[in-house]
Amino acid sequence: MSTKKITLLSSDNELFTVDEEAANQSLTIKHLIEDTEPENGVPLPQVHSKILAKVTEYLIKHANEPDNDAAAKEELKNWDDKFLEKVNHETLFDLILAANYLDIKGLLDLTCQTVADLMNGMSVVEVRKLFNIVNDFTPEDEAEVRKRRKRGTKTIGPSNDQANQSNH
Amino acid sequence: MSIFPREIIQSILSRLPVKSLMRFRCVSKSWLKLIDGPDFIKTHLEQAHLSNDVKIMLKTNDCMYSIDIVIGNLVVDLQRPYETLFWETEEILGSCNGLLLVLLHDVYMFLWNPSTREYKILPESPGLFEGSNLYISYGLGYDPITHDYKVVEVHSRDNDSDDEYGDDDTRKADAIVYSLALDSWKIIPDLPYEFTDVTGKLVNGAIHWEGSPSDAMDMSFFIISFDIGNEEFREVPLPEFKNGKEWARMAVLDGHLCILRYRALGLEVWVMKNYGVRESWTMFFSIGQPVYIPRKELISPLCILKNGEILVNKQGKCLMLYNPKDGRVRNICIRGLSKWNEMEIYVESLVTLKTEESHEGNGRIEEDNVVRMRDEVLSQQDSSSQEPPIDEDQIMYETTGGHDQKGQVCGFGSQASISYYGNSGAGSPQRPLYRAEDAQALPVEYEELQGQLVRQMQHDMQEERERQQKEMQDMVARHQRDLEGLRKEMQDRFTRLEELVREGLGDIRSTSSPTPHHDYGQP
Repeated sequence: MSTKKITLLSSDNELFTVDEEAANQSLTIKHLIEDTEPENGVPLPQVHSKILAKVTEYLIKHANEPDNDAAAKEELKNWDDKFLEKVNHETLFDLILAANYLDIKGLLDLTCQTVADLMNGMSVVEVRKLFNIVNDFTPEDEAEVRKRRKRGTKTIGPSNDQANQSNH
Repeated sequence: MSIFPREIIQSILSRLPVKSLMRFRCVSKSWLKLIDGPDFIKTHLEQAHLSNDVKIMLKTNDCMYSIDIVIGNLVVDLQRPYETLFWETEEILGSCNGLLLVLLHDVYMFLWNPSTREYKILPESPGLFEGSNLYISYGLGYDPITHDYKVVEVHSRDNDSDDEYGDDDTRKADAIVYSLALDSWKIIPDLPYEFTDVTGKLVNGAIHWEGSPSDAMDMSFFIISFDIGNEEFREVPLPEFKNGKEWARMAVLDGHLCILRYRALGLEVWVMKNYGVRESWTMFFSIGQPVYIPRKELISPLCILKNGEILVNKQGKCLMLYNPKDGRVRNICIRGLSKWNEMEIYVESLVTLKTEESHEGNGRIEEDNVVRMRDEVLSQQDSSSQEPPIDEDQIMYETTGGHDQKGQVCGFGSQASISYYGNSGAGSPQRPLYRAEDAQALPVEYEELQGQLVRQMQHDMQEERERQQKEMQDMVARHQRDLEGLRKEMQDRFTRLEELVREGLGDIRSTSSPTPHHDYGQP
């Protein structure tokens, strides 16, 4: 099987070369190649070289996904965990945007899951900070939204009856 | 959502557990809208199914726990939103998309989402048969076409009773089906089947029970299905085993209908790979069992976990994990939870019990429509009322103040309509049915209807209360009898001891009572 090489061009004009099979995991790149057959690399003006380096690293590793080999799957999963271990929040968010733009499902799932795991232990204030969200609730509204989660326990059945009876 | 498009935020949030999402509803207005929206609820549920993130609900007499086996026995107290004196009457009858079907006191049937704590009491179901030969099977399912949840009750009559009405009639069953969207029951009469399972199992958009066709000549193993969409009952094609007399049970694994065959050397699990195709039944796996199996419910596989291990229920008493790769079996120990009496598998979901359509009250007042009318009033009130502040103390106060019987009806109505989360928009259905100040505001026809409803409900409540009082009295009487007996026995023993002491016979401790832990005195 011949391995055709694909050249990718980042927003700051750096070139990255990967196998076609690896590049095809990105549906955006795949369609660009099919449609335009670019000579001097596939232009990706929305992706900076710093992020594209990470993306190509992922594409190369995931080029041949194991189907039934449990050990290989396990190894790949460990690699995924390590891949995003030392990535800061900013890079992680840029990776999500890149994965979304390049339409790489595996990478998008992985990065979204990583952010979700990150958020799981966070407070509301921390989440706002992480996503750069301004709180647009008035304090009263926010208290109301919070309050709706905290309702007491209702009594069903005889205990209710007895409570009523005892009051008469 | 300043940096990410909505789809990405949705994709990230759909991977969060319900508890975190409930917290993050107050991050911003757009997040609140997103998390409460039907699209997101659906995406989140799909993600939960996709990642096979099942929770196990274990019920003891006083508590309900949610357990995540994969994460490692993480036990969470579910905190039921309702309170009762008689937990032992609580039964879990079904589980679907994060909703549980619960029956309390044999009277109150409700749907409950333990993750959001939202619940809804179902309107009273129309009774079909009277008498003690009634056998009821239940099921809960979801129709993806109409996005509706349905509850099914199948009322079968016991056919081996000495019924004097003739043999033909006794082998019949009728079904009643509740639709959440319509908030009403409908009757499907004269089913040519008998049902032996209490709770149905949901596969492929249909609920399944063990049972048999009414005209079956022997007690062979059959599975009857109820299609939630078209509401039809039919028989599921089963494989033809060489020896049909073995114990068999139905199970659901990995979204497929399975048959558990209890054989002398262990358990065989058969799976129907293509739903409805008889030829697609194949042997799935088997679990060896070195000892002879005395009871058919000895071991039953419950679900396949994310890591490929199979969760197995042993004798309905304890859980174990079976690894099909190496045949290893591990027992699951949950500290502080050695005994439980019911279990159910569910996913965590945001599925809400609120229905969007508002029902028009049509003003019909007929005696036998009272129940349905009550629910229509309920939902109309719900949809028309502006979100009032709900304060439980206030409801209690109103139910206890002024009008005795009516007040209790109030209490019931308010419980039926209260739910915890859901659409955030105006007009959320959160208002007690009858509050004193509402009475004037209601149209005239409702006053008339209200009178009928109150009378009907007074009657029902009275009956129920009398029944329960009688139960309590019986219990007290029984205990008093027991106590009396004990007191007598004690007195007898004392008398005997005293005699022995008086006669000065030997060592009292060695000759006396058959209850050695009581030291009645020194010689």
